[in-house]
Amino acid sequence: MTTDHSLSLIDLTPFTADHCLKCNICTSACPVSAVTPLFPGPKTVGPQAQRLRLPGEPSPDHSIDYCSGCGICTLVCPHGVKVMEINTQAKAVMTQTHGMSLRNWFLSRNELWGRLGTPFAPLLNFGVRNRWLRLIAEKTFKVSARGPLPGWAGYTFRGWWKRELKRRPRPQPASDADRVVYFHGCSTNTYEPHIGKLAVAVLEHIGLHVEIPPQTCCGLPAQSNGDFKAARRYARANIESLVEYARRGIPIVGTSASCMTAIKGDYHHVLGLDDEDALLVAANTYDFMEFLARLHREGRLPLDFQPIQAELPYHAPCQLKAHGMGRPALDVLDLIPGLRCWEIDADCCGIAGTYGYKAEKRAIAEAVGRPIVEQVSAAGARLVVCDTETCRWQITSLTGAKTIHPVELVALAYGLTVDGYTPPLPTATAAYAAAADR
Amino acid sequence: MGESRHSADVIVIGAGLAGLVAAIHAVRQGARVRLIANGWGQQIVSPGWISVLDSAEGNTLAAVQGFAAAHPDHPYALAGGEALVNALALLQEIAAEIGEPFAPPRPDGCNLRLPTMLGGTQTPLLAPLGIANGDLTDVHGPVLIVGFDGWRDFYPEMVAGNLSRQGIAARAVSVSLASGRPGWDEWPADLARRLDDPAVCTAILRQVQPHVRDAVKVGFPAVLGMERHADALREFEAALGCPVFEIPVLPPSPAGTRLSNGLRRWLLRQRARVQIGHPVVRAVVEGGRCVGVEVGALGHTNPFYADVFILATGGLYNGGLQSDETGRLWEPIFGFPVSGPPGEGRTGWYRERLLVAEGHPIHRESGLRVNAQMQPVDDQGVPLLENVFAAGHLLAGFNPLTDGCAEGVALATGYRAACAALAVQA
Repeated sequence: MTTDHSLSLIDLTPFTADHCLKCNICTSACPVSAVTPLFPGPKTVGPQAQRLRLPGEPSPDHSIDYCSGCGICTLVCPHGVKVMEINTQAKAVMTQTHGMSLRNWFLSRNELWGRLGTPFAPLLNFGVRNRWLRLIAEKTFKVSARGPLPGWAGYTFRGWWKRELKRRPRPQPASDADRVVYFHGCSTNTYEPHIGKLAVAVLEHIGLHVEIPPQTCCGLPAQSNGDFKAARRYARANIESLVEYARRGIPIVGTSASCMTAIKGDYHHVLGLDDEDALLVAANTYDFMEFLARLHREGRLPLDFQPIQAELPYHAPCQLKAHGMGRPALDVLDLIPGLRCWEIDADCCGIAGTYGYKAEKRAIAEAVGRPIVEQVSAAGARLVVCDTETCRWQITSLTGAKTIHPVELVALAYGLTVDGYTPPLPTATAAYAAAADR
Repeated sequence: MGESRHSADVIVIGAGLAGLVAAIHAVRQGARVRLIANGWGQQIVSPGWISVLDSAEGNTLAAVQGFAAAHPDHPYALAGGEALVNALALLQEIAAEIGEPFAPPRPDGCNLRLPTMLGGTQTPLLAPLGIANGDLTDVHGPVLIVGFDGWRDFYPEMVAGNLSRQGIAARAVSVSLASGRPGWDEWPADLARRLDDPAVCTAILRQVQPHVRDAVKVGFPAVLGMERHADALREFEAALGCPVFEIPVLPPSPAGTRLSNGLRRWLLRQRARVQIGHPVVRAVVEGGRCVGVEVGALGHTNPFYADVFILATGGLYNGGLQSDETGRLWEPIFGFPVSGPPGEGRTGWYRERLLVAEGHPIHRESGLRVNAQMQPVDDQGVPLLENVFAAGHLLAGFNPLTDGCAEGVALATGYRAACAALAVQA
């Protein structure tokens, strides 16, 4: 085994293909090739085809389009080959050579649609929930009618935060050690602002001063559709906005585990941004639950949790598994009295960002998510916990169970709530707490 | 408050058989366990059977006792016979629970005699049900070996021919795999998943049935199903009217993959953490104890804390031990001293010829020295860190190939390490 920390000479992503022994462990683990003959597997399209990819020449292989980018191959490779990263870069070459479909361009601009759509929320929400309109969209744009699209909230998280600061200005903290930067991501901004509002409430309950600097899409949707030019533009804008905080050692935390994967890892390993600013931002960026788990280790997380009596399945998104941070959501939720969460054994829910929205890939995305359906239904669970938005929508669409972000349970246990939000569960009442004390 | 800020009591590093059995035992004893590994261990690329002492004549566990007495530095001698017996029992129990049962051991306690894909034989003690059915001990009558037309990785005529040369009557037949993937390479996992389709199985069985005739058992490459392997095996036996067995093929093996997947699901359901895909890059040591390990991750390393640590990262082939062109050997996480063959550079590593019965010194002599508690020790036999235990292939003192004991040592030392770690932790 050779890992990149011991052999930095060939750390560059495409060259990690030279570590490949052709053992096929990645192919055996790939959740996509397990369910469709259209994808021959990560080794074939990755390190194997890589030897035939010459700089400036067209890509020899088109089946790579069926790679979902979930990254399980990179995780299981015992030899340090960055299989998913190689494949994503090859996809970008294909997009460069053959151009990008209107559909993929559309799916890559989630940030734009979120913003532009907000004033028209009622109309658009009717559209995305109307079966006939969705079927027409499937026929014309090849966006699957079964792909779980969110609804617009009708207001933006950023707009709320601006008003909130006017309503109740926060005093500046004495030192940067009490500051934290919140990266909300596009989905929280326009579809699920309650996640951001709860995140702010939790951070402030901990006693931190929250900063929300300008930010844009993390770039992951454009990256996974092969549009590296757009992805790098998004990445650059975020790095420029965040690096000042990183220089001051202020942690940057985000509630979308996928956006955090992009900032921490993909900017460097996939998009090739390896300058000092990019690496500094990556080093100071934390997934929200990872940040809470760290605070706990440092003894800085308040433990005034009210009990929640529930046993809940938890899904670790594929992109969260890539962080190498374990399962911080479970570590933190274990601190809440009465709450018992367990991890569903599943590589990926199938949606993989924008993959499961594509009409020709919808059936594959549903087959990949089948282990989640089986385990959730065997447990009879009505509520599932998961850190990434598209996965939550996919799990709800596949299982019928409501799917929530772990921050919702943390806020609930702290007794925090926000306007227009209904908590997913009751906390134990004061009477229960009294009974437990006796 | 006295509350631990650790989210685990035990951290196990490595997801091979040694790490897995340690994690399972600790979980069953009520410990909170975090399993961290850079990848799955060798069970994915091994046939899926358990070699304990391949050369044993007669009762294998009795032979291990004699072997350990004759080799006091061997991990079997250090871990003690009870650890091996308990570990085997634990593995069999859990494997049955997750639906990947091992066949019951032979009543006489002897090794199995199992065919390989070259038509040779191997003698592990335990094997998954389908593979164990291939036991050639006391087979009276011809064996039928079935292959698939055009599959470049399994040649039934070669298997049957080589078995016949060893006095085991065997015939071969090739059948066609109707339909299938359009021209891609077929790997064992691909085929196993294809055989999850009952229609594919029926088509195969229809072709095999006329060839069974006087065969006492029928062997297939070990690809009889991934998700519904147990059902497939039963249906094959019912349709062919005799025992059906599997012959391990090229890695990664469906049997090893199923076992790893099943154990992962079991561990997760017991609320253990299973973190595969990122290496432990550093240990945090304070005052003679390890307090945590750091995992190489995106953006920054991530620390994980526990009371006790079990190191089961494998040998030179697996990254648990590292080397370079100077012949230096090192253990990359804790920097534990590693013993190696005497001599300058790599001169002492190998004997003159590649295939020598006694094996090459690098295998037996490289690794960590441990005491009976599986604690890595220095030259004087003094434990290096009181709460760190080591198990599996990274131990010195055995040659898994020539001793024929790879899985047995992994299980015995993993189990022993977990017992010793829990005793310290409590």
